[in-house]
Amino acid sequence: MSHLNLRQKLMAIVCTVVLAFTIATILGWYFDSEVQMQLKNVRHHYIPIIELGYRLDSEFSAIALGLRDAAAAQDPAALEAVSQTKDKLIADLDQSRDFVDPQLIADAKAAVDDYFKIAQETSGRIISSEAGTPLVDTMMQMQAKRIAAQALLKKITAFDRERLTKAFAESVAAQKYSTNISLVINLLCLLFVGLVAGVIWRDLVAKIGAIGAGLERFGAGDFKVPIPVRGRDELSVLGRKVNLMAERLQGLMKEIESFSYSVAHDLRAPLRSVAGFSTVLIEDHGPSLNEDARSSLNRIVAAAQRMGQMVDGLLSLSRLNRTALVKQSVNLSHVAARIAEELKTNDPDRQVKVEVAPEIIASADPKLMEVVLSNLLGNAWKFTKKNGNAQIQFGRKQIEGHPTIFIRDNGAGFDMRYADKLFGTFQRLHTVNEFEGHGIGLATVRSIIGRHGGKIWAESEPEKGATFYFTLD
Amino acid sequence: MTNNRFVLLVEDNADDEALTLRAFKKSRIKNEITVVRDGEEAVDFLFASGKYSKRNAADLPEVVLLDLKIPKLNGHQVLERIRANPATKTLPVIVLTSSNEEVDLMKSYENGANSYIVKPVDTNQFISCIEQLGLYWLVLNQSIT
Repeated sequence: MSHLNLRQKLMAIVCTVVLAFTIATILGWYFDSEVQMQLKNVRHHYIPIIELGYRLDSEFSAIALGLRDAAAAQDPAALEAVSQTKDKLIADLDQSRDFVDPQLIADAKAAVDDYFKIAQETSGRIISSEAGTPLVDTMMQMQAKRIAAQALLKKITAFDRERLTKAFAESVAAQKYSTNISLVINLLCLLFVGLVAGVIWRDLVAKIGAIGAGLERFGAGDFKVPIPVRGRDELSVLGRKVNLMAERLQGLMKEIESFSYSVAHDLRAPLRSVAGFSTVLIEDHGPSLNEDARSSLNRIVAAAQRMGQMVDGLLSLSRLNRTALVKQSVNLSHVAARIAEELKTNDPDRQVKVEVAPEIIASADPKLMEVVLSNLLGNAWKFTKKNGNAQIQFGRKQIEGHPTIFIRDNGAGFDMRYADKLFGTFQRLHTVNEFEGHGIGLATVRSIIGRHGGKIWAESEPEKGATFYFTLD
Repeated sequence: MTNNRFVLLVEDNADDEALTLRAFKKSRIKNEITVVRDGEEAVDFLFASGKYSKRNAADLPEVVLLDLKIPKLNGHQVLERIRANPATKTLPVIVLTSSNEEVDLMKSYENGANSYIVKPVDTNQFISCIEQLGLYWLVLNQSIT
């Protein structure tokens, strides 16, 4: 199955459906025609017999009635007509020899003859008013013969009916059997189609699932296990391509890693020299330098230190991007409350009202959420420093159907025209003299939120505070 | 009860060497400081081999300050050699480096480093770091031998 491509698999399902449908139709038609044949057989063979039976009945009644009428009318010609009907009856009896017991036919013929003879004789005597055996006796005899003949004819007719009933019952049973067989065949075909489709479906779903799981792993920075790929269909090709991409991505990330390692090591060393020897100059030769020279040296030291912090910030950003994301249930309210406590402890001179909504729980990486909240709360703390009535609020609300966490302050805020610059690396909307910082915090935050599959944005107005929103979907 | 033996500084960067020596001087630590400039020299010095074959191998430093990114043998390899040799197995080794990469940190401790210190860019922090380091390892700490 796995060596087929997607189109071939779909074709296989279609072919199976067509094949199963054809088989079911042919078999159904075959069984149906069998039943039709049987019914035709019944019609051909038994209908004439039945008709014959009815004919025998009516002919016999016609004979009896004819004899009586002839006697009543005393008409010898009528008697002759009855004799013709009798011949017809005998001929019909002969005809039924093919399907009725011959002995029964012979008996019936004899009985009819007997009856007719005596009836003819009786009627003749009545017509000619001949004397002889008392008429009543003859009539009694005639009655007995009539009953005997009638009984035999009835036997023949009943025999026919029995056979017909049996034949009908047989054909009905055959029809039932054919319907059942058709049903079973249809069900079997359906089962077969379902089985084939199911196997192919499962294969496709498994492959799509594997690609999805692989992409999720790669997205979280875990390249250890590639997407399992077997077969040659389009999904396997896709999986292979994604694996190749992941390999390349991993290579690039390793390059970044070695790059940041170099940055860490090689860039910080000269910075240390710049700061260190400037300090040496100030310490050892400060008294002999003029104010300008000392100020310049101090600026050099400060700049080197700031660059050192920027390098550290970049490094921690790249390190955060390289560590695997481990999602678990985190009580963000606890984290926020702890960070707020730390901010208060480190800056006891400030009076800031921090409101933390309780029990905000999210599925996220606890270490990374700590980084996010300490950056956002740290910013709120920092940018409210000029407000004597500083307030910071941490909470959650539904925005466009998504649970959204927000951090609101009533600090310096920013101009929304520059909102797009807010989350860029080394982008600052305030001078270092106004508010300290090196422009890496929000870039880090955005990177972490992005890795959680969430979104971050901010709303603000200068001097009216800022609100940062983020989701963690 | 000051430990009077010398300190071995393994450092290839002359600037860092000068700043470290200055920091030691400023922190009033009187121990003599010997400087070697690459991994091979460090190993030769400690085991009295190569160009240090005339040295007394029993004369070990009080503490080794080891940079990781040094020529020839790198800091990790030097540390492995030190720990592999029975004579220097217990020698205190402090990794003093620019790298705050977790891999370096992990590997150093796995190889048996006694401390791991990231050199700060800030000169005052650097001096205070050397001061504390000297106070701890050369004054407070009690080492074997």
